[in-house]
Amino acid sequence: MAAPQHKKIALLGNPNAGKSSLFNQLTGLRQRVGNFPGVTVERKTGTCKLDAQHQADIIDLPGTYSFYPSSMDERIAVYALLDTAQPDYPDAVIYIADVMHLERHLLLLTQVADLQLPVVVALNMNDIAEEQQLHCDTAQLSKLLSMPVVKINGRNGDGVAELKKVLLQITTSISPKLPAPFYTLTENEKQVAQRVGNILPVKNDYHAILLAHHATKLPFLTVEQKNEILSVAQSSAFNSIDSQLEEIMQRYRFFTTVTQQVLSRQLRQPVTLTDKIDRFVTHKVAGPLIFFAILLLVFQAIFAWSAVPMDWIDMQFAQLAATLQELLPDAWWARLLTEGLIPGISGVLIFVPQITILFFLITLLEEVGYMARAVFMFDNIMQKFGLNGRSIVSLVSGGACAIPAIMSTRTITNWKERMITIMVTPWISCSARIPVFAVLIGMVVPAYKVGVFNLQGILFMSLYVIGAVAALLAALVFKKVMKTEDPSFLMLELPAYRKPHWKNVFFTLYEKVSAFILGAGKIILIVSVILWVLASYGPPGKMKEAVNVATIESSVMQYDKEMTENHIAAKKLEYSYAGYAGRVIEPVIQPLGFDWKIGIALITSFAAREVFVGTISTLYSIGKDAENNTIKAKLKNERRPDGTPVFTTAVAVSLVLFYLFAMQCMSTLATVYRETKSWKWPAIQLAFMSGTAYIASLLAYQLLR
Amino acid sequence: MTATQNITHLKTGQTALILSYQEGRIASKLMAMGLLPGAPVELIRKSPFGGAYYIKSNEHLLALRTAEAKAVWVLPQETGTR
Repeated sequence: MAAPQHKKIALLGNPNAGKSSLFNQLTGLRQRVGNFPGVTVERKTGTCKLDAQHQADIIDLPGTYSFYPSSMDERIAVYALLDTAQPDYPDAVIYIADVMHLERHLLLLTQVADLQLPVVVALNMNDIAEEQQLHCDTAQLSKLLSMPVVKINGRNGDGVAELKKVLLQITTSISPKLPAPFYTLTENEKQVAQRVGNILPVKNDYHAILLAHHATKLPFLTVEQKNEILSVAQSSAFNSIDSQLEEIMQRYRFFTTVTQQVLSRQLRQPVTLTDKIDRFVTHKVAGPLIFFAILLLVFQAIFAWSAVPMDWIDMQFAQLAATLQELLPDAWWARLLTEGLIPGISGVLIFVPQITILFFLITLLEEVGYMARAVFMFDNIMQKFGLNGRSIVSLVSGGACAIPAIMSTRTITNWKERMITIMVTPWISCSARIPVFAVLIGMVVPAYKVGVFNLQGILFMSLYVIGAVAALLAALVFKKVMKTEDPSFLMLELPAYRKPHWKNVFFTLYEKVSAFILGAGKIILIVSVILWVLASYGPPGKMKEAVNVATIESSVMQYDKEMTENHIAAKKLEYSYAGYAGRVIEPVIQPLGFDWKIGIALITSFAAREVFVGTISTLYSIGKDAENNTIKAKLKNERRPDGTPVFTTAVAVSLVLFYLFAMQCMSTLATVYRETKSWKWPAIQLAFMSGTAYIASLLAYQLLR
Repeated sequence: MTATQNITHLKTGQTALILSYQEGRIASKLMAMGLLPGAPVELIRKSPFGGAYYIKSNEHLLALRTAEAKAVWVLPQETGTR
């Protein structure tokens, strides 16, 4: 695939400079997500056609302010540029700078240029600057920097063709002209750089000094190399922080003269539209109120708008399965298709409407610049729980589905705060718990009203509250036990409000929804097929015996055709591998008040909570399409062999608590694995959530019975 | 004049000039974000639940935690009006 002229071009810039817009303009949908070598952060790469013969790979580096990063994300960008031996090391760099913030965007630009990489400056936001009578002399800027400068508009694609032309020139020329170094190293730095250059190959002194700055954290160095660099730094009395400050100050002295020469006016501080909006949006009282109003709207939208497409998907797949059932012979592969695969795929796609709507709204809030304000307002409260301002977004999203909620934690830059958010988000009651709660609450609490409130409704609400409180308490525990070398910073840029860029919103949505379908979806599908096998097959001969027993019993009891079918289905499940597994775990779950039949439901609903209702219905011969009221009535009458009712209040409460706390969602675990790239975190999550569930249920049952 | 005024000492709406930084790591990051000694800074408002400061410097808006705001030594200019 890689032709000889497939050059690699890195896209670099400050956060909020418009990098993702330009990336989308350059690559369109020819994007793919991979990993940065040695680290577990996703890297986006895309192909860009420079002209008819030449293509280039564009590597999207995370936004950073300088070569002295503070978050994981920013570090990736810097390390990728320092590891000259990696196969994807860029041949050239597109540096995107915002003309409105030209001075401070020159810092990273001159830093990357000092690594002797050919750089093209893509100057963005000219339309907004012109509106404010800020003109930039690009010819003069290009002369002062000794590198090509192209005016572009990331939103409508203006100037991108010109940018490609320049890129083609640079990447095809044998020795592109490079500017003289912008930074003059101090004597101490020169000395350190020389000695680092003796340890490993370096491009130049600046590259060497950056290796000295970051030695301990660079994933591509060997332990010996790290130690050697450290001892060099120590013996030369090299102080990283002092050296950073010296470098930044020296560079800025040059920038001031640059901006004086190329910008039509110096910066002033007018009262802008953003200031006016923020007077309300970040106001002491109005700010939080507006935030909760927006949340309520988002929440409402998820439930109201997604109900119709979810029902539609559900119905289409049920119909497809029913049609195929009639057309196909009664063979194992046909049942695998209609009872295993199709419901499995349906179980994946059913989440798509919610995920799409939620990500659409969150991306929109992010695009217009609102999210940074919410972070500013809630950072302090969230911090007390070991979380980050941004965690509040994930926690609320968890009310619909933990999968997109966990995916949205990517915006949290501090590693520990992000991990804690991922760990506790599944305790926010998601939509899959609703059907389970509805049946169990209905069984123990009559539907009468206390004043204007419905008693069942109050109980429902309190389950949500218990989940949220438990999530925060768990966060506190994780805050105490987890360690991180990552210092926690806020230092957050509050971008000026702007109209959403629909193309960006669309690309982000496309990326996240397809990530869900391909990533989490695969695992849901596999697990649902495995569970189907376990529930449909039993030890040899046993399934036939089950049918025979059920048929005889049915004729003795004089059941009609439908009741007989239900009874046979129940007996088959009892004799299946899942049924045996239910009996095996019975001693473990007995202290919680659960018998082996509930055990079967616990096992089948391990992949997804909502399966509980279906399994219970089958087990108690209620039939697939029974109304909730029928299920409740039937379950209430269910007796143990000694004549006592199975579903007492104690058992129902114990079950509700179990489903509230237990990690009964394979897709969430799969997502956590995807996001953390390690089985350690999903394993910890499974253990602590299900452990808590066990203890809570145990206490509830033993106290109430 | 006490040389120990920092951003947390400013009143809402008050402007000041940045003198220097108290802590190297924060200094490095804030300077990379464009907050250099000599630059003007205005305290726009404090966070509703405390703990964070919304500041403006050269048309650039930033949110800082208390620890970060305390690390910026400033020379207050005029009294706040808002």
